[in-house]
Amino acid sequence: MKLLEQLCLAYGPSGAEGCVREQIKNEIAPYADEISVDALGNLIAHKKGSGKKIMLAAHMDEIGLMVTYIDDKGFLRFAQVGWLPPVFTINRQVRFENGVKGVVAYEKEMEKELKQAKLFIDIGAKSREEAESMVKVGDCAVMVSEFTEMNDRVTCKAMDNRAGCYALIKAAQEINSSNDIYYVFTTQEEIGLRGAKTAAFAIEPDLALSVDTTMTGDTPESDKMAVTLGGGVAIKVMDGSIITNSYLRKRMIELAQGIPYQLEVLIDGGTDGGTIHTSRGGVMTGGISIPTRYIHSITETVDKNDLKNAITLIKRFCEEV
Amino acid sequence: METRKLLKILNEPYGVSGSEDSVSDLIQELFQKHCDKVQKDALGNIIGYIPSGKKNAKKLMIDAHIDELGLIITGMEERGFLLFTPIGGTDVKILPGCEVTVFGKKPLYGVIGAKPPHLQTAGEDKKLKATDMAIDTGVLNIEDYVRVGDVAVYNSGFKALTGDYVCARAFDDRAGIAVLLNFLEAIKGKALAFDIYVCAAVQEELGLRGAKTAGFNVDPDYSITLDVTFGTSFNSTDSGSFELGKGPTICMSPSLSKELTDSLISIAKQKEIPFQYEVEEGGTGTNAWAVQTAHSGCKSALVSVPLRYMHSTCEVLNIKDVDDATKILTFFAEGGTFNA
Repeated sequence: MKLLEQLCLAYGPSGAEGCVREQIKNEIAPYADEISVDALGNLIAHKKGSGKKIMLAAHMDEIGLMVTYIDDKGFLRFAQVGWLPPVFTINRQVRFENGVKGVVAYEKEMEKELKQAKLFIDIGAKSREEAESMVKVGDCAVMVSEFTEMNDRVTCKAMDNRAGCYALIKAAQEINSSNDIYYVFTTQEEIGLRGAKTAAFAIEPDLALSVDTTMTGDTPESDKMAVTLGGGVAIKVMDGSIITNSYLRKRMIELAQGIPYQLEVLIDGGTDGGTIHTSRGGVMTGGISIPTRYIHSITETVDKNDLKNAITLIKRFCEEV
Repeated sequence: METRKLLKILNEPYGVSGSEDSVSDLIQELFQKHCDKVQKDALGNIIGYIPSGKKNAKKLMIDAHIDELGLIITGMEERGFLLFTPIGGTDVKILPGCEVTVFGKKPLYGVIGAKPPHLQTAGEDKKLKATDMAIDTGVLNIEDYVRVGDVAVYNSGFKALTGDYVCARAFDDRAGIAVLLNFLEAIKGKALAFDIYVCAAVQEELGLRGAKTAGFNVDPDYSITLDVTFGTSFNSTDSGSFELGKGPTICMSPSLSKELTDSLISIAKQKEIPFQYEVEEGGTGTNAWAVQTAHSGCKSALVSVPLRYMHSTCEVLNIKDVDDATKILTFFAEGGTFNA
């Protein structure tokens, strides 16, 4: 879990994934023949083989808070980078890439419908000048949280999708296959599946698999969804960005025999597979999801057994699909 | 084939977006009768090719989509109730009372149920959501037959109204597919001005996904999309809806090629084929939008059959409009006034 902890705690909002990328590069290097970084910042680790060209994608970026304005008293206004409801940020600590820390607050007592425009970040500055010496408009903060284990579950910020990155790294360590495999750690997923789009264009894979987190429907009064935490690795059928390839889906169900798995229909949201499957003339694409509670909050929670099963299924996919 | 018969046949197989195999198998078979080469791409688009035999001929792609609206199973409740969410843009108010087939291990007949009006609180019917309904098949051990991710479709098949008016659940866009197939028959043995690619595209209702990869695969010089548009009904406004039986619409839009559009219009006028002008100020919401930017770009046009009650289980069209669209397309492919 040490690796997952390091990945989750790393700074990496959409468009500024450098710190996460460096960590992953070190971890994946021993299992790749070639490593490159493309123009959008995607990390592409290629394990050469004579078989099928398979692209595995997990996004590195996390939700962030981007400074839009600094006022006279040194308070910062900010925009959401990715889907970040105000209720998830209020009274949270945040951290910028350069180490500057701050807290998020709401103007007055909270209303029934919270407004993004009424949120601000306090970085301890006493004036505009002081604040401007610490951060600039356009700088991006991420929320701060601890990595905590709770029985079989672990919780932290950025589990979406460092859990997927972790699963891909762990699978790479175990995969023994003659297929031509590209481990792609993508950028800018949270703002519209953008890194995966250019990576898929460059790689032109025969098959692709996106590895990401998904929601669950098993907490008190949650929206109905058939995925449960600890219920096994989820095989994606549909989300807002893709209907997965039916052949790959059937094959993945066969490959999942003996390990707990569940089928996932996510009504909203998307994954890298969304832009991969419509790349160029089309790519047969599947999805593996790690069930996650409280998505996009600092308490994103996954189950260690689901994670283990996801790694097993990724490995089987690469070796036997 | 006679248009009425063709429309009936095309509405028999089901093809919910992402599960188009049974309809695409039929289209593949029908394309093979007329095309030199037919292929299925990675997303399931069926693409047929008819060479003109001319040297350096330009490529003309003509597409229509084969997918239709439907439902996908999201979960199961006690007593066998199936929870679902719509695939594609569905007005969920029309769902209670619909008969459906659920494609599980075997096809199951079911009905969509919701709370009776007596038990609804004031205004509840106006806020009706898909999560307030379930499919009832009567099967108690439903998990033995159906899994999360299986799809369901409406049972309403082809029905003849009076005269040239007909009704079915999936005229959007099997009407376009009918034009495409009749066009293939009409150009048989004729001299063509273009190398022709016909495309039956998948997943249009989910965001023009199939057209994007088909457009990339064909990389055409020109494309014509065949789809449906809003037909005038009892409560239509003057603009933005089109009379049934007065010809297909030819769309004018900043995103479409003026050159290509004008050429279709002049052919229709010259041959005295009825048509109607349609204006879309931005995106057309059709495959034309995706095809024109799929590769390095192409000139696109859009021809649509007016359709009443779009995205319902009882879409109504007039057969004459399908035939007139076919005629315009055929004269265009033969050269017409267009200088390719």
